[in-house]
Amino acid sequence: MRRNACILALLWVTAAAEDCGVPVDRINDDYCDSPDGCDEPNTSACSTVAAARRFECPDEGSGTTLIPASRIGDGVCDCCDGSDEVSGCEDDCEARRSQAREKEEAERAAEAAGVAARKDMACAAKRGREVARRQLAASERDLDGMQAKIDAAREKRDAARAEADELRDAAAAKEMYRALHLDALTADQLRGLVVDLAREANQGDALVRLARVANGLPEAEEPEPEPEAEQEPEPEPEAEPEAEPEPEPEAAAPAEEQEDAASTEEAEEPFARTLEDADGEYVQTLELEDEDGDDLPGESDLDAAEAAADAEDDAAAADDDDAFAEFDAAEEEAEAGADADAAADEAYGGFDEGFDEDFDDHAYDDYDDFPGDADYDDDEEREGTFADLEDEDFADDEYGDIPDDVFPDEYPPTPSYDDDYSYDEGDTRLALETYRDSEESYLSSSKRKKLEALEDTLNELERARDDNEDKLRESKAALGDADYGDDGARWALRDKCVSRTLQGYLYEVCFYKNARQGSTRLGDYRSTDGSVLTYDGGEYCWNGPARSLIVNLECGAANELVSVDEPRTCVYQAIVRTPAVCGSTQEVGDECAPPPESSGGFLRFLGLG
Amino acid sequence: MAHSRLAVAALLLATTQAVDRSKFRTCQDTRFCRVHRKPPVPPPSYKVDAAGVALVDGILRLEVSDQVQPPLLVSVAPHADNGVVRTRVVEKDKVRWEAPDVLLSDTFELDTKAALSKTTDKATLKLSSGHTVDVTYEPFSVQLTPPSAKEPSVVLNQRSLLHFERGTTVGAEATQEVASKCEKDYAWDGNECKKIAGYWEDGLARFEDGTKEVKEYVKSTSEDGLEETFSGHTDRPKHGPTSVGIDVSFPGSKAAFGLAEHASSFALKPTTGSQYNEPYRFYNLDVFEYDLDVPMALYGAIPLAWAVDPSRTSHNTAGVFYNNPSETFVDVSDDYSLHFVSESGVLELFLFAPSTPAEGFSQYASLTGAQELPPLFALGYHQCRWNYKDEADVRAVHGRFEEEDIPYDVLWLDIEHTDGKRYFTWDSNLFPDPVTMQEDLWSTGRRMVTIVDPHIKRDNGYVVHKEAESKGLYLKDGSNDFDGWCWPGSSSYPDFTNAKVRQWWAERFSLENYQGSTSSLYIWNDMNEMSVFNGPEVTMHKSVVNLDGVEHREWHNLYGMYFQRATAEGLMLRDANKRPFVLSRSFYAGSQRWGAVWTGDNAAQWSHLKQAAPMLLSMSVCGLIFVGADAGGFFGDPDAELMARWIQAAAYTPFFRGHAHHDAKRREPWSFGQPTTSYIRRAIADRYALLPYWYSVFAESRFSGLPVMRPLWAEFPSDSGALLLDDQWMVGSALLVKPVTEQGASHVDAYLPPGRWYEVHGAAPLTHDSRGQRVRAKAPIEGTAPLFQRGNTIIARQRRLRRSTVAMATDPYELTVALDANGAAAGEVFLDDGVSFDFVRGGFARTAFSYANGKLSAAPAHECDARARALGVEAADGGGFAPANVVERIVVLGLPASPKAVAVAGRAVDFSWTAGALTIRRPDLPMAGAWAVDFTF
Repeated sequence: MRRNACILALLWVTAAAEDCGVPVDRINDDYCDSPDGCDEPNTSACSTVAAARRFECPDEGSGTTLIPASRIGDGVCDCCDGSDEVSGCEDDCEARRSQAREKEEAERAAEAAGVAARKDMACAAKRGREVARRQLAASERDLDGMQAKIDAAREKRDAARAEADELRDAAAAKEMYRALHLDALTADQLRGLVVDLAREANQGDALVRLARVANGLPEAEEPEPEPEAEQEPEPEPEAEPEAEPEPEPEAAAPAEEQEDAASTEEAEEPFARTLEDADGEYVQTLELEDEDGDDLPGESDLDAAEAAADAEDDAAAADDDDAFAEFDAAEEEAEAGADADAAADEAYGGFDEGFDEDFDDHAYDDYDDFPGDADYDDDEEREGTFADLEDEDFADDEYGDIPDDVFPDEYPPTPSYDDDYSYDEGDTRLALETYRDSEESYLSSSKRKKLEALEDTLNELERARDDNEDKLRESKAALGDADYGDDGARWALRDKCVSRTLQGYLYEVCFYKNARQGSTRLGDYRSTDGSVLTYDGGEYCWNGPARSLIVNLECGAANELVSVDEPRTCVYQAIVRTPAVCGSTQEVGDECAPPPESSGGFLRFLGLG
Repeated sequence: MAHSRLAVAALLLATTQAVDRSKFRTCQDTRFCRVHRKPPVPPPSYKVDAAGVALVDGILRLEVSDQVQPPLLVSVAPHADNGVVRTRVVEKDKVRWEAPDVLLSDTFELDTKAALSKTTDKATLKLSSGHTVDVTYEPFSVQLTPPSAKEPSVVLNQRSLLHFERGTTVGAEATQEVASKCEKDYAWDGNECKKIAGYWEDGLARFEDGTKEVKEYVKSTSEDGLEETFSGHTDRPKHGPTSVGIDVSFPGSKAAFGLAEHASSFALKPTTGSQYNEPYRFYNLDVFEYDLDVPMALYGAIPLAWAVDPSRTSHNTAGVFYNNPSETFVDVSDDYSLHFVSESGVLELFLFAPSTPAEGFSQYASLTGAQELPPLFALGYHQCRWNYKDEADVRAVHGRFEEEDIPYDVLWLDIEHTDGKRYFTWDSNLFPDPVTMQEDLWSTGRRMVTIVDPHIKRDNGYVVHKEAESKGLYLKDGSNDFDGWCWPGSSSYPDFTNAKVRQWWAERFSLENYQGSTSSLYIWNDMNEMSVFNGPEVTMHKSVVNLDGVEHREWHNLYGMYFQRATAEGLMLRDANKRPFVLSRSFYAGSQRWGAVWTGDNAAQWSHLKQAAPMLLSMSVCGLIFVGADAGGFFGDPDAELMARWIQAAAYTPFFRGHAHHDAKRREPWSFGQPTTSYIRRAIADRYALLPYWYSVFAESRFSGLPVMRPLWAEFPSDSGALLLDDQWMVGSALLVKPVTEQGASHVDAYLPPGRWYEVHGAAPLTHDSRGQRVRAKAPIEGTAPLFQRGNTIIARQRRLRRSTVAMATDPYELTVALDANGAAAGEVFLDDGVSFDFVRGGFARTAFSYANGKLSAAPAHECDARARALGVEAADGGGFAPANVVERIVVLGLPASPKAVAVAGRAVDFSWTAGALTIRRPDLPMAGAWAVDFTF
């Protein structure tokens, strides 16, 4: 045997020498002769040039171990039997082999379990995603049809609503005119009233509105008589430049001040502004008055007002925005009696009833005196009257001692008055709302029912649409937009998390969602590249960048967070084991398909199928 | 009251790019500099009292006076044999504080044979070395003239800039602090005051939301020197204005060098307008993201300068060591005369007029000590990063070096390895078993370095703090322990100027006290300028006092050295006969005795790669020999090319460490993938192959004070073409390296001084016979830095690639004999155990090799000369170390033709002849021994 070994060795040396192009006695003679180190496979002489591992250590369990020439005879035992060191080392090859065997077996078992689990995951993914896809398709299909229905229903509802509004406004206007006896005034009287009101009142949109009503300006077009609301189309330059989210915190404080200033400014100018969109000439008149403060309007102002009123008369029918014309129409319609709509009659009737109950007995007398009273010189009385109409407190506070007789005893503010008209402190509005009543009062029950039915249908349709949109979102989420691998097995990880305490921190990685270190966010899932998931946009480090995480997926029998590393500040790297990457792509067939699609599905559930 | 004195007030806003210059004082911001930089015209003229001039015990003593203030005492003491002249100017009736530990001795052997002669206007000393010292009386000046020279080499006070402020007693006048914008514990973020969460190394506060302070630097100085405000800190010197200053001229010099440390060119630039407008500044500071090409202060200070005049027929070099550790500014004139201005202390200047630069370096080393011989492992490659996070990270990095078969010797751990920046502790989550970790590294011959900084966390649960506090070892702010902000937050600083404190500190390094350490653990000292994040200029205010009550202003520049010393002494206490390894960032003259120094926090930019050589050369000629710059650049991310080029260049610098900021990407040798890994691996492998040469040059340095990394003028002082070069250098006297520092370069134009040179890394060695000219050398990135071996040299290598220096111990050697034009060569190799102090007592082997006339001979060269003894090498001779290593290969370059036969003691040996290079195969001769190889032509 020994002789054979020697012969074999000699043969090997001869062959090696031939291959290397050196004499036989220069093989392994501890001097580097060849430029590539081929003459010294078993010594360190060529370690500089022989980068490749060429020294064979004994089999340690997974094939022969090759070590670099630099390890031969360097005083460190690299081979398990110490064959790289002349001085010799303890032979622990057997121990290393059994260790390697155990490790290998464990790895093999994990791999096998992982592959099986991956198949299940791929199957579940196929089924789950198909269901979601169906649901998504159904939702999308249904949504298309629903929107058309909703549009149609809304159109019908809007038409009915508009009709009702028209009837209501006409009724209310009529009632108010009746209450104010404005319909009894001549044009001149009305004009005089306007001028007088403007002179007496410093501010107050009730007054203005009254003036507008008196002059037949569109009143019903303004459901929200708040000055601010009316100003919206005319942005003030001071208030303009602020974009909502302020990127610069420094700018925040001054910006707020600016906004405050702007709103104050707005608040200070409602009077002029209110009229601006109504009629140019009136605006001019009232602005002048506003500029003059409490001064009486000058001659020219009165002339202008008169001219305006004349022009108004002339142009009344032609004016597109002229609510007065509409009012006339409504009144004519109402007065036409037999020609009028039965529903309208009913509405007016109802309105009349309400008016009689709430208004006639108490306030009417006072009002009766006021509009028709030719005694325009009685400033005090007029002041008091208007002040009281607007605000009792205002009257007392601002006008000081107003003689008692200005507020006659026969006009005691009754509780019902207060309740119905809500003349609370600061409420200066005298709007058509006052004369509006519930739809019941002017809509026929059939019309009301029809309107209600239309509303209900629309609401139901919209609810159904919203539900369907939720479903759509759910379906989309269930399908996911991430890369789940060729067989989709990682789809099953969507709502799963793995966690582990490492180096004193509890790390939690949620696949395709986010990751944390304790309460610190390491980032949100961003992308997948092969078996690497990237998370970024985590919390900023103290004096460092925003945290981010790279997750390397490795095969394992179960989902498991193996390690988290921070190779540089706030850039984390994790190794996560999961069956989802074990073995190769798993082919799954029909056995993983979901049950056949049942017709209708949740559309039927919605009653829209 | 206080504000009426404010002469200058400036409000500057901090910028965030690069260094924040407004954070640091300029000459103009500093009264003693501003006032004395431009002295009154005509300057106060000091006159010598002729009657009092006397030579007493080898020291010429005299008094000088400006006729206004009391006279000053001047001593002029020529040292024995070498022409070094120590000149001191002190007050007559007051003793100022002086550092006791900078000089090796306070009683140098003096030239007792010096002869004094006097005339009416001057006194002349004839030294036994042949030098002449003239002291002229009016105005006072001291001139040192080398033998047989007509003109002096060094003149002290030629420009009459001597000034000496006598101080004053400052009343305890309460002065108003400059109003801070925010309340205590709050700082300005540019918009509002926010609560301070901490401070960072840039000296700015950090807030909880991660933003940082926007600082407004309020500066004011007064002309009377009683008070000065900078950056919200008002300084009132205890002794009033005590600044000193003097000028030193080098007649005829063509360039001057030294004054480390500055991120400037190696050759000093005039500071009076033609190049810089600011003087070079010495005030050791933690300059965050420092700028290049500026005379700003940096981490260390060595007020030593050399002037060179290649046109002199001999004694081309002159020098001055201005030994003052207080804040100092140095103006360099267009004629390279220097003007030193210091805040305090005395004037002590050593004047040098050596025959050669080498002699000058020896003379300086005889004053402040030689570079301690590093343990061999410290010359290998060091792998560092802020931070290798945990034991697994350490093992992974180590494992990858093993896998890639790349040598390295030391793995480093930065501040994060500790338990909350409490030095001497470990984060037990990250490093649960540091002993096993170190033992595992050590099993392949690798050591570990951990960082230990001087700021001690003020935490009563921290034993180091508890002891330091209870024993009263901290620097004092008034009667309290100084409390400043550094990495751990609130910190105090032991008084390392105090020997007892150093002893206590040294004891911290015992294996018992430093739990988790092993005897293969070494230490890194950072932040020892000292860095105080919330202090003026990121350091302490000047009125902090040491335990002797001496103000910080007096010893500021010494603290870093004292700290490194205490640490080195700790390692020697741990292992008495093991040479310590301690890396320091801060330094002063003499730091070379305590370990290595690096250039601090540079950046991953080509400009910083280029800047490394001038800085390292400057430190080298200032006696700081074991120096390096962070390879790769600390801040930022180098690309693959820059990284490879940097490693290639750094492989030829004394201290070779890769390092990176914690925000930087990983940059270990394999991080860029192939082929970069192979480039880096090759550069490191070549470094290891050359370690026998490096080690021999370090030993030469230890025995003589010569730098290892040398400017060309150190070897070729008469070659004016070599004078200013700082992008190429000599390693020892045999190798010239010119690394690539330009992006995309594929060749370099290296200047070769006159003589024969062999280009080492060509396929075959290219021979250049230079007349003092530039030679274009290929520099492909897959090669290493272009390297030239000088004719008439012999160097040793250990070619075999190993994992570490430990694994190389028994490997055979290769000798490269590079003949000069006359066919001669010589060289020395030093061997010892690589770790102990035995060499000091003769435990080394030194072999001298020489080639002439067809014979290569080796002979023991164990004799230690007087220089070595002056540097603390005790034994007369070596020889106490007997290595068994053999020579496995001899390469001879420059033979005109192949010999016919080569024989060792009559035995013929194999050889080959390829492209002009003779290779002798396996002569198997002992590295330590006498032998001869005969060539037959």
